[in-house]
Amino acid sequence: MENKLNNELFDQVPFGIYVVNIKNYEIIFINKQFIEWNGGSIGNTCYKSIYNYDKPCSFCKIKQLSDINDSPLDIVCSFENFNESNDMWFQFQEKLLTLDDNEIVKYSIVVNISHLKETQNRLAEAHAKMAILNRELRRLSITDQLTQVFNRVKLDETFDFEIQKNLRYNRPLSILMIDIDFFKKVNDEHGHQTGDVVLRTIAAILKKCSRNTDTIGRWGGEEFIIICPETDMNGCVQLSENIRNTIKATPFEKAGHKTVSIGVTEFKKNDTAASMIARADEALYNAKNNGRDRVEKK
Amino acid sequence: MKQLKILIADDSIITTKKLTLIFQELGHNVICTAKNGKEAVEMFRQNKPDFVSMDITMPELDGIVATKEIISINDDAMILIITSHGQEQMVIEAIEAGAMGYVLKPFSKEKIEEQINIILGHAENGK
Repeated sequence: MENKLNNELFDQVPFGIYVVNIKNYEIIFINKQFIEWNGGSIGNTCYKSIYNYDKPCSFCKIKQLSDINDSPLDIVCSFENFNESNDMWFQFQEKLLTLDDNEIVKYSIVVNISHLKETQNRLAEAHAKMAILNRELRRLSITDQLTQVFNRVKLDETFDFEIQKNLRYNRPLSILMIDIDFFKKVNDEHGHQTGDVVLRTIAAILKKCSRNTDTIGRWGGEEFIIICPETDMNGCVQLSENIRNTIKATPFEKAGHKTVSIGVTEFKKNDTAASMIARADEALYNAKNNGRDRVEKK
Repeated sequence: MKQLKILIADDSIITTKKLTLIFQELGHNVICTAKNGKEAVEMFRQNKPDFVSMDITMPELDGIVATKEIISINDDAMILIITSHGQEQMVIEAIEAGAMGYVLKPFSKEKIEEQINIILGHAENGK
């Protein structure tokens, strides 16, 4: 009588219930609601007949519920689980229990939380969308739209950061200021579209020639700056020569061959971002005055 | 729309099958599948897919570390996270790692299609 009543009650509750022998994962009890949601039947192996795995589930809690001698701990494990085979979300409560015949079993009480998770997941997805959008906005705010290198906002930020680092750790720091020779002529003779292609191509060459740790940005019109941490004057001159030669060897559609002049300087005691830029600008001015298509340092 | 070459990384065979079907129905080509993060990074290096669908909880290397490694190989890589983890911290970590989209299970064809369109839109803006 008692068994009949128990079975009837277990089959009428709106929760899934199942019990497995922890030695061999054999299902020894399962109620109607659980079978309706997830399948499984008495005598079968739980991970095979319920979850379609060929080995115990990665989320199996038997270990967590037992002590080092594999005896049941007096704790309940509560967790959420997504069943990949039926696309449903469940809240699990699991515990181990020693039966009268000393058999240790794990029982699970399972609530369908698919509707609740739908709302929660929509919120999480909205949050993710917002975070991605924020990242995109930040990227746009520091990128020069025409050339896709950084703009002055990012150059200023990086400069401040590197100079602070420098004051503290006394590491080398150099910058290059690059100006395209006779750029105005390109715009005047071939139009602004051709000028834009030259700017974009040169920006791409600058990216290709520099290292991951360098920061490349468009300073203004046809002027670019590269900030090179951990680089002294010699390293910076080498990089500059590589850039100058690469650009000189690159043919541009319509505009033909272009050259650049480069001013280089390295961090000196008491320097600020402004004083370094002023020096690089002077070096660049010298490069222009000394015939262009050259690198000058100061 | 351009046909994308896709890499699916998920330790569940069922999910991989469902995703493959959806990507094919959307006109794309699943060129390889990985069962863990380590395999995913290796396959990305070898097969250069246009688009990666990435689970988070996987053996060997989780999906967030794998995302970071793939981005270090190609920082324009388009990675869509498809996972059952919706905790705020996990979302933030995945996006900081470089993921361009985040979908929670269960997924639908419509949801995946929407995410592909958004990600391709961002990529065109020069990510």
